[in-house]
Amino acid sequence: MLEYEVREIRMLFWNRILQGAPPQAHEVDEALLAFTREADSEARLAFTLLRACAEIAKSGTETMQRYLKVALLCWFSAVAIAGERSSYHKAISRKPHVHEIVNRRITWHEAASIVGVNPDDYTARQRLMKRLQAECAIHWVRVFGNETRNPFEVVIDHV
Amino acid sequence: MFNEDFTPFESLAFHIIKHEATPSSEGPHISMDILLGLLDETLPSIDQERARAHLAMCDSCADRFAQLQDVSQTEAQSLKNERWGTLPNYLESQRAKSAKARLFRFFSSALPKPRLRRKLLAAWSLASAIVIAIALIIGGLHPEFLFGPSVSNNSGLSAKAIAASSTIPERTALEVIAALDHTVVYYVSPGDTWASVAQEYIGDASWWPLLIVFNRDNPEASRGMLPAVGAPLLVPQRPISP
Repeated sequence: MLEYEVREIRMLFWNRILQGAPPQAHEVDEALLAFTREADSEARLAFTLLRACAEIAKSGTETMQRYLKVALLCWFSAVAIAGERSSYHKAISRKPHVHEIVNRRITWHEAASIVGVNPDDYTARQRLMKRLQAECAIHWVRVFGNETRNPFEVVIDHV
Repeated sequence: MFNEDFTPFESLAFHIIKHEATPSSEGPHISMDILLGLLDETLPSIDQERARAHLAMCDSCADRFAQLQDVSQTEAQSLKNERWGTLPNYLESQRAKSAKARLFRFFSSALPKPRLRRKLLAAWSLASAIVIAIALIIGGLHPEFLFGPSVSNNSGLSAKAIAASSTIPERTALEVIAALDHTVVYYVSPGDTWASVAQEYIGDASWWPLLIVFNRDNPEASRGMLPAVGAPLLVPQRPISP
């Protein structure tokens, strides 16, 4: 499978998480694991983050799932592309697709209001990031072992 | 959002996402059929998901899809306006149509058989002709029966007469006549003038010639003189706004 095809599958899973229908953990592994072990570092990082997000979206608390969506809305919307699409003038739905939000520069506050959570709850955001970082670290070790440096260095015991 | 308060982990996560969602020119583009299927949601679910995933990675396809969406919305709107107008109007017309249809069905079922229907129609036509003929005969003898009261009032006033004998326009005079139909009798008091009476009863002193015309049966008034104190004058029941 070509690199862009693998990326397309990952994008499919990102969309599902944003849509509120996250994939099962084993589904992600089955679809991507085999191709990711041999992939470049960018693809490995992407798989690990996706796997961690899928885990939280599936098994995290409801609050954490919502804040995860807020974070993803902000991150994807901050991806810059050339030009401007007409869809930018439309309101963002509560279940957007990635192609509808890229380059829209949604702030944390805006994303929080779209999802319906308190934008000023910094603790919830911190808790999410810690959990996400820990999940990433776990999955990095699980898939790539300890031979390579873990970019998500974290004290896993805290999870 | 965040650059100001980014933790190292968040910076890394954003870097990953950025790499993940930045469109590239790699790979084949999706066909117009798939884009159209995505637009009208006729694609199978998994194909829709794949197509949307591709749109996130391919600027060219995402642009084409956005253009399709715009065209589709414009066309849908124009089609809707062309065929139905606004939705409330459309619903209203549908309701009217169904009401008409119900009425038609009701009367159709209530009508007698065709042969009898022809006889009834002939009888009705004859009766109508007789009624019209009678009305015309009576109308010739008593026009007001057909045409209602003439523009003259009870005193025989006409707009033309008023206009001819004063500076009041004929059209205004017509309105005044209508008001004068509701007349009252006023008895001349000491110190009265045509102008003062006109001011009080018509609402404008300059309309005093109208009172003369209206009281032309009175010999003094017909000569332009105010009748003696205590003499009756016909005046409008309520002031008129000229």
